[in-house]
Amino acid sequence: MLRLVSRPSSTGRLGKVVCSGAPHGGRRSIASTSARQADITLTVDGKEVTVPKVRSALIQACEAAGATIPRFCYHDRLAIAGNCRMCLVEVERSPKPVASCAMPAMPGSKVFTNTPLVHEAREGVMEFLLANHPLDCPICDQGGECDLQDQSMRYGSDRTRFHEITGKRAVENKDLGPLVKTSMNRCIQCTRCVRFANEVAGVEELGTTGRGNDLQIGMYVEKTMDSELSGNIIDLCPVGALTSKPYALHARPWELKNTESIDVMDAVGSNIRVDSRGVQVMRIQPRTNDEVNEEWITRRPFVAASWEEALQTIADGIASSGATGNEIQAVAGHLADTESLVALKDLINRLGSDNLALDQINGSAPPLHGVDVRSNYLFNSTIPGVEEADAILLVGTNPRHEAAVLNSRIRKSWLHTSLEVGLIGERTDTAYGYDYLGADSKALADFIAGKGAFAAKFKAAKRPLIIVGSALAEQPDGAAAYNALAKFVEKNKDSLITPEWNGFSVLHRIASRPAAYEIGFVPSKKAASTQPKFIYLLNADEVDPKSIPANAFVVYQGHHGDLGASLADVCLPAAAYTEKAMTWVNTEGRSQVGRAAVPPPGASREDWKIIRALSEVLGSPLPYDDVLSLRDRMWDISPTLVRYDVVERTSPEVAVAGLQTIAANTVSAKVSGKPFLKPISNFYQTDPISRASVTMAQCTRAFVKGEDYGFGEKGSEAAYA
Amino acid sequence: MSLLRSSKQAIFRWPLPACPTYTRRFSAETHNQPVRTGDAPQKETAQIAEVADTDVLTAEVISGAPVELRHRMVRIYQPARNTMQSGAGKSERWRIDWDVLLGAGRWENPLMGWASSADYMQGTRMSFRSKEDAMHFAEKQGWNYYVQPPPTKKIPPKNYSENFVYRPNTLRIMRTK
Amino acid sequence: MLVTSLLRRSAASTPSVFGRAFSNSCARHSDALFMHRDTEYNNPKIPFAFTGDNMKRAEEIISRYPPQYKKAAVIPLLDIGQRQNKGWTSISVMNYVAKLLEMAPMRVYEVATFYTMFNREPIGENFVQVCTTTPCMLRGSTEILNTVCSQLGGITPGATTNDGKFTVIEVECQGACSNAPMMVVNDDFYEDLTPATTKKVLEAFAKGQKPKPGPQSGRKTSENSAGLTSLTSKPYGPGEFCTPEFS
Repeated sequence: MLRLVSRPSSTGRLGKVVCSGAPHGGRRSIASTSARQADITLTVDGKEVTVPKVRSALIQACEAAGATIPRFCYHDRLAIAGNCRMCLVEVERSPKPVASCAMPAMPGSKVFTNTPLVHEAREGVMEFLLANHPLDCPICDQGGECDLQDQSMRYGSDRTRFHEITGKRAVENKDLGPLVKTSMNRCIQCTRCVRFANEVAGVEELGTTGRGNDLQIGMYVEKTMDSELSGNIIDLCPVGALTSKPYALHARPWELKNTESIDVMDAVGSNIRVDSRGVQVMRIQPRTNDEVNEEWITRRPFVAASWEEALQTIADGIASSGATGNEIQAVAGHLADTESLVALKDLINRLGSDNLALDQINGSAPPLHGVDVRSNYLFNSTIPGVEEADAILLVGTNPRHEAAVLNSRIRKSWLHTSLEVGLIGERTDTAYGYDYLGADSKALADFIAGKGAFAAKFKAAKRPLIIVGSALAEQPDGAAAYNALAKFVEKNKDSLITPEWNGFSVLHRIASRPAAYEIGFVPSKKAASTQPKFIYLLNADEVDPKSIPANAFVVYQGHHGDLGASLADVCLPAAAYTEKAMTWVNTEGRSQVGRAAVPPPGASREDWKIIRALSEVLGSPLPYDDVLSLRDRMWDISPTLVRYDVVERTSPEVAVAGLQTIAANTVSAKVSGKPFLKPISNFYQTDPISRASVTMAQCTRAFVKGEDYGFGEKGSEAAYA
Repeated sequence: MSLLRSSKQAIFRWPLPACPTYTRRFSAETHNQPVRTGDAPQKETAQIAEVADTDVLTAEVISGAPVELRHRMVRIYQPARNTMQSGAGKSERWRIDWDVLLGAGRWENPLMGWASSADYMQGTRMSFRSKEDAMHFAEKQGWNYYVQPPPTKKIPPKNYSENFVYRPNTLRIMRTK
Repeated sequence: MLVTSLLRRSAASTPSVFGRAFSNSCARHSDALFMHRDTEYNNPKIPFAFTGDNMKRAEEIISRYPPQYKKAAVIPLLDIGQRQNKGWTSISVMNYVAKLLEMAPMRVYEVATFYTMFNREPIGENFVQVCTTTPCMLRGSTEILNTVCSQLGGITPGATTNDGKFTVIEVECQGACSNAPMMVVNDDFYEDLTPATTKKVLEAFAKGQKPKPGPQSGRKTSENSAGLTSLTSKPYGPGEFCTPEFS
């Protein structure tokens, strides 16, 4: 491997550390603002470092100074427990080493992280940790990326002083569901998983039982941990006690090539790292919190004959079906990337059709909120902005299943601030408390009329936020609800829509949806009423077979050959999201570019290339040959599509105008009184990739249906592993 | 004009789309600017499109590297920390790597089942101590590159005593060990 | 040789009694595993609720804490529950306390498993805890323990007699070292034990009587058993040895 390390650059590590008034340089500096009067300065290993006075732990100050502190229990995103004692440091005039995570940073103190005392103390701690830790490393999945392994290289002893005749502690393995494999013998009781479950996931079932040497992590009673975020405890575990069940014994971390990409399982656009070996994706790691996905288990079930043949068949199909104009329909599925949406829209428009449908209920009708004003269909408050809200009204949505990462943010804010949450829609377990207002339009009307305690709280809130589920538009009363909400927001624009704050947010659950609205991938009113004769399904796997006319010619383009493929006359194998470097627009309107981790198999191609090739066969070639010129076309459509990683805000005036259009569009809506239903009843299988996954099927059986999914290690010797 | 210079200029003339996020080459003024976006397209084009007539001789001219290499964009980014571990080592460095080659770029060896690839850059990564170093290297090589800005990390200050702070209102969480 | 090793292997792979892979953790403790398994006598379906008296006491205890910190009452409430539930804390007791205090059940389990004085398995009518920590051991607690075990029909520490009247366990220091050796029966300390007095105490309990708690040797408290060696003279009263003005 070619490896090249160039000369050191101008800014060394010290330059970031020494307090010169602006601690901006350090990527990990804790203070995001410049040094304030209230900050405190202390010395770590002879370097001065400044941290905020309010409640900074010593370990954070050490880290800001560039000193590496070994730790097991401390985690940046969890509460401090102070139970592993690995982060001991020496503080001047302190008689004993202090645990730097549990010690506040004090002004003027002198801290040493690399003295003989510190080393000896950490060696002692490590010796105790290793006393009961099995010598499993060769068969342990964590091997190679294990904190205990790494730190024992530095602080561990090569032989033991413990000779207990009873042997090392043996702990029963626990059953944490189909995602998490447990080997509790390896547990060092850092309780990160317990704190994660308790704080972030809102699952209070996980805890510690017993005491001292016999402390165990578990749920005491025999049951399965049920959380959409449970996969994260695999990453949190500093040892191999919690490892990934689907990934178990498949690969070693040093064999993996990692590619940083974007998740498409929901519309949050979580950043992920795709770890692949050879031609297979082995695992998905979060770059932020996210649930684990098992793409690598599946095999593509179909391959088309040859490209020329297939494309010609489609051209013939169009001709023989006699479809013209709006009778040519394109349906965009959940996992369609932005590039292919643009290409398909251009192609269909060139064929004289405006019939661009979305793969959802009412998807073949123009959307209620229109697509002319971005703020009508985007998550305007932004995802980090949720933490600023002091009252949130959820309408027809369950963020726990539609955007689990967003939900954990709401929970975080709910825990640490006096945030109040109200819910209109189906009752659901959100992992935080909420005022239940009702399930239908009447509840919404009551809220708007200011009835009830929550309405009063919402009115008094400085940063109120309304989160509208994308499923609301699919409800019978969706139009009426949109009408009422738009009027309400407009009326209260002083608090809801200000230059700093936009409290009307639509939460999408489908990765491709914001991009589709962004490029106007919606049918015109006239097209929506046309009976299609030629249907092009782009990754569309949710289509209702009944909605497809019997004599229509159907083309399916996708990667997992799910429901859509079974309806199709022609299947075109496309690349899955781990196999293409494409643009995704998340629910905030933030466009992010994913990366291909592995090349697509066999004859599969990127979606937009297939469409481009098809356009050639159909005699109206699209004017872009490579992805860069396609992105130029995207720039023409909307510059935000290629301004990566930033969210462009809508000005308050435009946002208000947008709401007025919603109100005008839906003015004739009737209230039927039907309740708003939540769209996702089975969180674990919302898309074709998950449906094709064995593990997700087990998750469904275990968590949704409550069955025994047959992976429990009852009475097997596998528990020794 | 020397032969080298003219050949170099000939090579540099590839199509330049207006999309601003993708940069090809920097003029002398924007040398230290990472690729950024946000302005009107024509302005962006003016900023980055022109090939600087400098005396830098890109390596591709004489290195004998395959022509295809020049048409592939490299990505310059800071790799994210491995979430499996708490150590932040190696996350300060900047990495150059290549997007995978599409179109039959991979197959399994029918005899042994080993993974093979037609992509000669698929296993290559280079690490640099700074973004500028990486950009400098890519420029010297004559590669197109895209600089991915690192995500800002916001870790709030935290304290052990937060576990025990008295809360006057309803408890929303019961802390545990 | 091969045969024996094969035999051994097959023996080793026989499933354990519980049908689980591992069940021999924490064998050192009197308490059961730190893991609840439903049994006939201990499962969440068995109803439990405080009696009226206990409820009143529980409410009084809860009222000592701020309303949002009701959870602070978990230990006293578990204790009331254990007393009401024949001396042991079943899963129903824990769940009931959790519900009463609006806590997640796991938070109660954590407390109940942490403190060894919550018995999570049924015990006999009389709960005999023999201290075997160093001071008691030096004063002959081993003999006391053996006496207790043999007196109760040869049971081992941690076991309950067949008639269900006694459960014996070894415990760590109870803080009565000056009257070592000692044992605790139910809530009372029986100190200064000898094998003979131990038997007497247990016999009394077997008959359903309650012997007088405290030192069994005739001492009142922890005074010197051989009589006082100092302060033997009459203490001087007020005015003695003072100048006449003050006498």
